[in-house]
Amino acid sequence: MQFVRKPLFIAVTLALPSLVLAQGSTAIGQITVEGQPVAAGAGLMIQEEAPKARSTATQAHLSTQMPTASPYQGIRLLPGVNAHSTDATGLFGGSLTVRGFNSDQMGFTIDGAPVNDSGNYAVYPQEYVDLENLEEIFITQGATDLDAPHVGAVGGNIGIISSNPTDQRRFRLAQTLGDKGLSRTFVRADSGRFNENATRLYASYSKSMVDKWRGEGEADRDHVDAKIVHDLGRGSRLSAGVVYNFAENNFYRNITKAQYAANGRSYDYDTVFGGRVTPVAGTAQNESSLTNYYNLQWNPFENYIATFKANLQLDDKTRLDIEPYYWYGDGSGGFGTTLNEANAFNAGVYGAAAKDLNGDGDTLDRVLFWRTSYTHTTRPGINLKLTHLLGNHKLAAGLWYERAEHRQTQPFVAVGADGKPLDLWAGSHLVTGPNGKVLQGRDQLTISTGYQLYLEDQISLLADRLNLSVGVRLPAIERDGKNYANNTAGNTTDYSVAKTYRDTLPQAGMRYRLSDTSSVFANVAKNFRAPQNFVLYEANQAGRSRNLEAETSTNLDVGFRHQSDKLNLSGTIYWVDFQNRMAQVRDPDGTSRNYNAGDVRTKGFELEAGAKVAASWGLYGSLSYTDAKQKSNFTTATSANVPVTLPTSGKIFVDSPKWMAGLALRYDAGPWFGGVQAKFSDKRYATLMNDEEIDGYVTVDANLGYRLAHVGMMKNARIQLNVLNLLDEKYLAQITSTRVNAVAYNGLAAGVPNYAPGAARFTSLTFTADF
Amino acid sequence: MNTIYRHRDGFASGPALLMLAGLQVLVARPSHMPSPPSQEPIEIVLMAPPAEAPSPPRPPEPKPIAQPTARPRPAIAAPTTAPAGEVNLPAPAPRQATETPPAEPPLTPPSPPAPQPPRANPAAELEAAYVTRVRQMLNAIKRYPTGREASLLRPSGSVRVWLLLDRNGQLLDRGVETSSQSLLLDNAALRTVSVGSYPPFPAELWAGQAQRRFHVDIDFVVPNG
Repeated sequence: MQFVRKPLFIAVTLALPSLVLAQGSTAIGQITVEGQPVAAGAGLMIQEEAPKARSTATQAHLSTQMPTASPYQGIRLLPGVNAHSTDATGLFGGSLTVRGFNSDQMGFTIDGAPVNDSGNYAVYPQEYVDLENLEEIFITQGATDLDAPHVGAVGGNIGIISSNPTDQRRFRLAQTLGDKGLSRTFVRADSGRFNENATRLYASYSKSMVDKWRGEGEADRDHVDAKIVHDLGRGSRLSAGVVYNFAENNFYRNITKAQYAANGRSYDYDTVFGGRVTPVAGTAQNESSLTNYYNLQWNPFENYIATFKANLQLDDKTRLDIEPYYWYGDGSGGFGTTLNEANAFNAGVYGAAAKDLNGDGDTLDRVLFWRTSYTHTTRPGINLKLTHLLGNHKLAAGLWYERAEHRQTQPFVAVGADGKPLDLWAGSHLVTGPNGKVLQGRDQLTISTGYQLYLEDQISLLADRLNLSVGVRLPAIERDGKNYANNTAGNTTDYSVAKTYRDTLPQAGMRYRLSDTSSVFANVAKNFRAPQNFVLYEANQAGRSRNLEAETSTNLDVGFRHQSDKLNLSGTIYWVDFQNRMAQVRDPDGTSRNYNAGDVRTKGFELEAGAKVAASWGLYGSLSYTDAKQKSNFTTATSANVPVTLPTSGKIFVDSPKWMAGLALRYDAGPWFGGVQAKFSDKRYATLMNDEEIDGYVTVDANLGYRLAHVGMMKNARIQLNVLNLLDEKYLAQITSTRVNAVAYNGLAAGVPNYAPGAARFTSLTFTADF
Repeated sequence: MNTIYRHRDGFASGPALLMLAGLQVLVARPSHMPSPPSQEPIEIVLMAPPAEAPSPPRPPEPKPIAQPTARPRPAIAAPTTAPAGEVNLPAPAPRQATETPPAEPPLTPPSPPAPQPPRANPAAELEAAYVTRVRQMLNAIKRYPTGREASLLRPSGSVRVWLLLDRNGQLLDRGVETSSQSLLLDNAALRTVSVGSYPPFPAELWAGQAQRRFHVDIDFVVPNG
């Protein structure tokens, strides 16, 4: 916010000191500080000062990626990040682990508003943003920020920050074409400053479509971003933004190691539909062979996030931030399945067990349907923060409150003759039971009220050489669950269940400046994740008592930074003590439920370095070592309900590679620009017993661009070529389902982990111009 | 009436400035204390909004698209800022090393910038050289604030920080003279000044003064800030 310099004010402020001191003052001049200079770090590193491990990918780097890229791809090269994308474009999402923690154990915010699923904390990065509208994506690898509105962040947090409307009027158009029928059209209109230069706004729309790189099917995504910023003057600002996404994507098939070995990486769902089996009375028709048709696997989802901010500078030393938000999500993930007419229904809920579903008069058939896990969430919330400077203390107190209404159902939708569900949005063509009630595999409404109070003091000592940051956050979540009678054993009656989880999470950090260029930092933080909402509805609430505690972790970072114009260096050594890890365990009664299954201790280091090697060249490198070890043996039961304990203590945790490295080289001079980036990862285990693993890999991406001279009204035109997986590396990238053991042990049958292979080489060309 | 309203700041400033000018004259008296710097007229001009945009409570008209990263700023007397942040001010108006009362009240209404040409004065050259060294040192250690708060707010603005150095280059005290209206930026500016290592005064410069007060303008710029 630019300080408004009124002559009278200036005169008064300049006169007063000289009136008081009545001595000379020599002008040193003007120093200009740019936010996030690109030079040393290729856009993947800033001159970080936070007293904790933290890394940032800026717009300078994000703009060199494929425009469709998801936030996971944007941060892939940062230290500690084990991120994968289901395809090269990022439109289908992906997976992420950091220091052994999964994405649903980390907090995600967009412009300060939380976007993790309110029930199970899942994150779907492809639904949130258009990359060219982002300013930066930051990650704190271990310590969740004190003022972050999360109850499910046991492994740190990630923030996505959108950029503000431009100062000048601008109309931007970008068109991307690429492999697999990729087409993306992006338009954005910026108003420039108006209303006496106080207000500016923009709105953008993008439409992206691409075919799956293996198998048949596609992604089809519409996205709208809009933002308005109004400067009130004297440091205060109002802003509002909305992010809207509508996508209808097919799913990729997750495959086993055996399937990968037998079929290669192109293995996916069936591309040909065998055809519906004609119903004939008196004989049994079986459509089970049709369930793997690609067009029966769909992920339609619509969501938007609206954020409002009032950042008010009350006086020179006090600021009040009032930031309400609203999240809306509606959609599902559904797969092909069959219903057995003879016993599809729970008689108590649906009147009778059997019903003729294909109209042939008998109840002998297995009929094809699309079963979809539907979720509808409305989630208003507010963040309040008061900051005040008191001497060398910067005090902050804040409050977060939100109320999420989360409705989860699982209806069965009829399938057409072509093998496609008749209603992707599950509003019609739903299977009903013999008594007319809609068949639901689950039917719950969870009202999750989250709130958090936090206090923080940042103290500046030793003439600003030492910065201490101490604080505490007190998150709490009240889950109010209502189960409506549905088809799942144990949930066949209406019931209510409520549970509150809370914790006290202190955090302390320090940063000491050793010299002009070097500093050291340390941070210790306690994090917590309340159990997901589905534990409320796990079978047999009454009776079997489970002391389900929240997962907690204590994270210690100790680090060193060196920063100068030519070289930025940051290194962190860390220890994480992760307790009460939740996992599915088979109960003696044969049902799987979540229990606190033990502890994991992780230690390692994360290094990153950014250098400006010559006038136009930037270099970035990251290296991380993660040693995530399980500290407990895993106890469960065999299918014969015999307890069995597996010797997992001392074994490496799943999906945590020991070594990872990233490298980016960037060139930018005159009309040409380009870069190469590479990611290396060590092997990863897919089972707690470490008896199945996937190999390490190296992937290389490259981009090359050319800026055209201004032509008439067209300005800043540029063409960019992106190639992902340049060397066409064939590898298993995502571990989509981990298991306890892949080899039978003492009567416990072997589990089969699932994977998603890394995408084949992919090329795209983007043309962007401003008018 | 409309004209008066639009220029209300100018009309209101006039009488107020006259009163302040009067106070300055009353306060300033020949003494052993150094006089208020006669270059203050330049400073006022530096900070004043351009004459052609009298009343907007907002940043003035944006610069043309040829400078995509430059934010709208009031015109400064100095040449345009180089990307590295180095700013070369014209050599300050020659100031006597001895103490004399100011020739005229240092506060004048905003006027077009008119830096005085440097005279061939060794004291002025020494001062310019020293000031340049300090500025280069600060440029090397300047930092934009980081952290969740800075990422969410991305403040921009200008802070004037005053600092008191002794002859050995020791920083005795510092503070914010003119706030940027952002807690983050004020703190970042103070931190930059605090952790700097300042050169000692050359023996011939400001001879007889055990300490001297300085001020520096730190301008934080963010694209689309």
